[in-house]
Amino acid sequence: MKKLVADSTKCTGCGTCEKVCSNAYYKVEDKEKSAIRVIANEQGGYSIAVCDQCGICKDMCSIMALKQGENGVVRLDKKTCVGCLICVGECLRDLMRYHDDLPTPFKCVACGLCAKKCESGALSIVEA
Amino acid sequence: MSDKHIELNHRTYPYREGLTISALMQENNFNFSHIIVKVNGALVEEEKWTKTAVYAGDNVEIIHIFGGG
Amino acid sequence: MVDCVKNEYRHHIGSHEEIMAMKAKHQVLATYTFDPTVIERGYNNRSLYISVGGQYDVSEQDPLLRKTEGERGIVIGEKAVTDFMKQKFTGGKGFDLYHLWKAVKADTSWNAPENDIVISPGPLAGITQYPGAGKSLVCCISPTTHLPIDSNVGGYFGPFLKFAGFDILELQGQAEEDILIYIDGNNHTISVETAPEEAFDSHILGEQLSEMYANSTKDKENISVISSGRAAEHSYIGILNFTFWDKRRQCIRLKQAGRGGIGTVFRNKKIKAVVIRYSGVHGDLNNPANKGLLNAAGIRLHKEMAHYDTKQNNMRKIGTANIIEVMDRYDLLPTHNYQYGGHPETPKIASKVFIEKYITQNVPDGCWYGCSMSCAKAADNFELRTGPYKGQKVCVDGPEYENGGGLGSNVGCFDPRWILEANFYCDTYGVDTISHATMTAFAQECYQRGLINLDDTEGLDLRWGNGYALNELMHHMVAGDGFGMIVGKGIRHQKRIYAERFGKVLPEYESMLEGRPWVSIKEPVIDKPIPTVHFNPDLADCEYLKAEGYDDEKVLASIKGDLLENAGANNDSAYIAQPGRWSKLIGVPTIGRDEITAWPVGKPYYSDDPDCCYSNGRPWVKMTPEQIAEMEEFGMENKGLEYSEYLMKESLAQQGGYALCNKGPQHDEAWLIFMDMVNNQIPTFEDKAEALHYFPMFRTWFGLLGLCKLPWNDITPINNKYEAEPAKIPEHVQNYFDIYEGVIGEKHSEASMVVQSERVYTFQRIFILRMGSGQRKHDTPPARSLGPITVGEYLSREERYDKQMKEIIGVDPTGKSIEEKVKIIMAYRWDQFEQLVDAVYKRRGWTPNGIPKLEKLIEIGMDIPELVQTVRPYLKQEGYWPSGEEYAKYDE
Repeated sequence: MKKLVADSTKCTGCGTCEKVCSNAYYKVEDKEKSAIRVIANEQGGYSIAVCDQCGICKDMCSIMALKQGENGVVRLDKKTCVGCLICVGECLRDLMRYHDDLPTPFKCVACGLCAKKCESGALSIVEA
Repeated sequence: MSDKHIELNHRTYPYREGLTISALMQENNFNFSHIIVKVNGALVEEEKWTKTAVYAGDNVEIIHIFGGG
Repeated sequence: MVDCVKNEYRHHIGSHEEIMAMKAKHQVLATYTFDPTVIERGYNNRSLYISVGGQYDVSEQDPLLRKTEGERGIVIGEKAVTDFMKQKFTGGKGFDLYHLWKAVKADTSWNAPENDIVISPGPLAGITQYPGAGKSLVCCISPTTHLPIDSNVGGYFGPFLKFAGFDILELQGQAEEDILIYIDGNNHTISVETAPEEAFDSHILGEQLSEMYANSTKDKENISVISSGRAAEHSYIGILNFTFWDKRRQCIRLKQAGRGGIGTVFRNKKIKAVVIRYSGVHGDLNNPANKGLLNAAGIRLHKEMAHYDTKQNNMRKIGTANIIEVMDRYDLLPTHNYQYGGHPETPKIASKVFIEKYITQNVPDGCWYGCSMSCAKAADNFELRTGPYKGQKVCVDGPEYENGGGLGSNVGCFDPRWILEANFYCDTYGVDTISHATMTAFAQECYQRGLINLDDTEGLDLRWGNGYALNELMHHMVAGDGFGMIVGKGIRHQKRIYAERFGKVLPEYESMLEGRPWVSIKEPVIDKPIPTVHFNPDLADCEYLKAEGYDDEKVLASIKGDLLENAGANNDSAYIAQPGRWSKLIGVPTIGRDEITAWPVGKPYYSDDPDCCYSNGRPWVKMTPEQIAEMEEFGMENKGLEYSEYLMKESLAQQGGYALCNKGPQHDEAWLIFMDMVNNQIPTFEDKAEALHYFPMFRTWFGLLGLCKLPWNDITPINNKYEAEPAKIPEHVQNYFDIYEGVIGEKHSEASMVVQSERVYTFQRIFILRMGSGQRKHDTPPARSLGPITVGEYLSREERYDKQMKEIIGVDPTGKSIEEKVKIIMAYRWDQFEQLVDAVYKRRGWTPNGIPKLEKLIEIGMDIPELVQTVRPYLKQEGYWPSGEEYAKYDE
């Protein structure tokens, strides 16, 4: 099972991971288009929200555009997706993401680009 | 015999000592899954139905929310 | 997540090669190529018109922009969707009624070539972000009501039609032989072809055509088929099935445009199917004005479904059937032809029985993309016990609540297997489960009261709960003969046939024999006859046959046939028909029609009068005028349409909600039973009238836009309890205004929404007036819908009725017989009903005779000459034509 894991205690809130993610997939530095989310806590520090590939999102997809691969990663087939956003509503942690500019939602595919650029070592890819 | 009453859904309903929201619902077979309860216009949350006492003269509304297929 | 089962019936549809061989037999009769368009804010601004033949001239009032003429009088063309249409009629049902008005005349019969099946998905239809946005609205002149009927349906056809480039599809004319229409939404071509070899029944035909027109198995998700079935040809309650491809189950699913016999008209035109293909669905195809509003509203509702559905209505698990047991608990589940509101055996057909034993779980079951409510449930691999597909394992779409209430409790079948069996056959044969259930219950009650007998039913023992006999009845409908045919014409026709055959023909019935004009058989309000009282628990054992003078034991024995296993009936005497037994009676002396009038009541007679089309030498027992009047009281129809499956007799508002419906008694205008009867939130006539204005307008609005009603209030936001008017679900209403603005680009409010609906609603009222109905007398319900008409019904709620008599009517019930008490209660309730009608008409801006006033038409911008002309004579006659100078221009 391949997935991105985060240790929020190490997070400095620099936002590099969000920029890397949105840049990799949408060619912009816009955290609203990033699959990974960094949230400033009210009491200080940061929380990193990352998809744990639980797969709930795929179960309600009527056109089966979401598939979980053998390595456990849930991927969206953008050609098949009709943009209904049911998966966005299903995700309990709001990590099936969407943006009004985009025709389809998006999510973390555990590519690891953010982990490579994270200087504080808060992010890593695990395969278990 | 008591001649005290409450209003239940705008109809007169006999009052008795120890009456609660839950008891009222049971007596009237109000067991739909989606009900809003108000006593004298104030909302009573579901978790308080068993403990909420009803007093003589109270205006109790047990509102079923359903609109048919 | 379950792995979806593959339904075994699939090998019955034929191999790919066999299906392509069927296609090779098609003869192309007409083809048409259209220009691609881009949808602008929900509209293509054009419609597709097809006349399938029969030398029918396209109405000059409603001209074609361009057209092509094929063989055999087939015409394919386009019409403009004008700004006038959009302003006055919005879309969906509004567009349908607009075209239908143009297509037909006041005396157009349902089977005339000019009758127009109009299908329109509405300007919001096809968005994928918000649940329930794939609806098509379908209208035509109905065979059962002879009025415009409207029915809404899911499935992918409507959105595909729109994405192909058309806001409306009109089907007119009459073909010489079975044809199908193929619309290719990607290559922009249309063809009309003969279709001689494909099946008729929808569960096979839909599969065959999906296979035939898809490029690959994956491509089947881009196909949708409209079809009907074999029973639609012989009954008046034919439905249209709209398919969608269920990717997990790898089979087609069927959604129904159910009410009012649209499928019968479809088959009368000899259309076997309409097939559409569109590839490339995505969420922006409507070119919405503000997609952000759609996304935000959609996700709000998706989240409510994900979090609260299991605590609320369980729509995802069981769909609308979740309320079977709820209705029973609240005395609202129609039982034994609406006599009672529940039954001790209801737990046998409760939703959890279907969930645990039959329904395949945890599958996204939306009938259009984006429906997180996903109520379109299915029972996979259900083994059939009767009929042509006996022994096969099929996918049953359902059960919906109406199937449980209608095919279950109302006909007395407390056996989930019979409900699913009848559900399946209704769908694939193409008949409306609601009308079928209600009119079967009517025939059953006639049978058990002795108004018709085992001879008349051709040996079908129609006692409550005889599942075999009830399914057999449906198979007769397919064969196109026998008693099933009579039942299949609906309650109003059954009443006429029974009365004509069995007794003195009332003058009112005489005028109905011609079919047109469709005069109400009920007299208006004043001097309402007090219902006769009946209670005879012994009727259930066929003794009445002897009592009525027909005592041939041998014939009875031969009719009864073999005893069968009968899990649904509550006794051991279930029999099914023995076809062909009537040949024995040929040669028996008969009498002619003239003699019927003078024939003694109760004495069997035989008729081979060719004018008496249903007699065929069978013995009849003459029906008394009282018995004919009885049928009026318990025959649950209004305007010719059968009631849907809720017991309304303890809710005055719902009695109005049904009887004041434009198309006939369907609860899609208003369902007020809880608000009225249980919550008592609308105690005065004015309160009820306000509810009977707001809710019908709000629900009409769904039909204008192409939306489903269910996501409005079958899930409620967590904060709804804090709202001032929680029954309206204000947050969801705001969602609708958001998605309206999101697509159309205009802000909307409750006031502007109500006016938008009033325009079409009032138009429909004037339309039914034009077609011979639409006055107060036509809104009169059957007595049973208002209260207890029998001793048995009274006794079932004796405490409640006694209390009502004492506390509300002010009459002491002590010492009165049940018959007397029934009369007192019913007289009171008729009076209440009339007061309700007065209040509702007033609120809607109509006269006491139910005619929309000129001032109302002006107020809502519907002072269109044709409408004014239609209402003018009625308004003048009633003294409601306004006198001011400003109205003079309307008097020309």
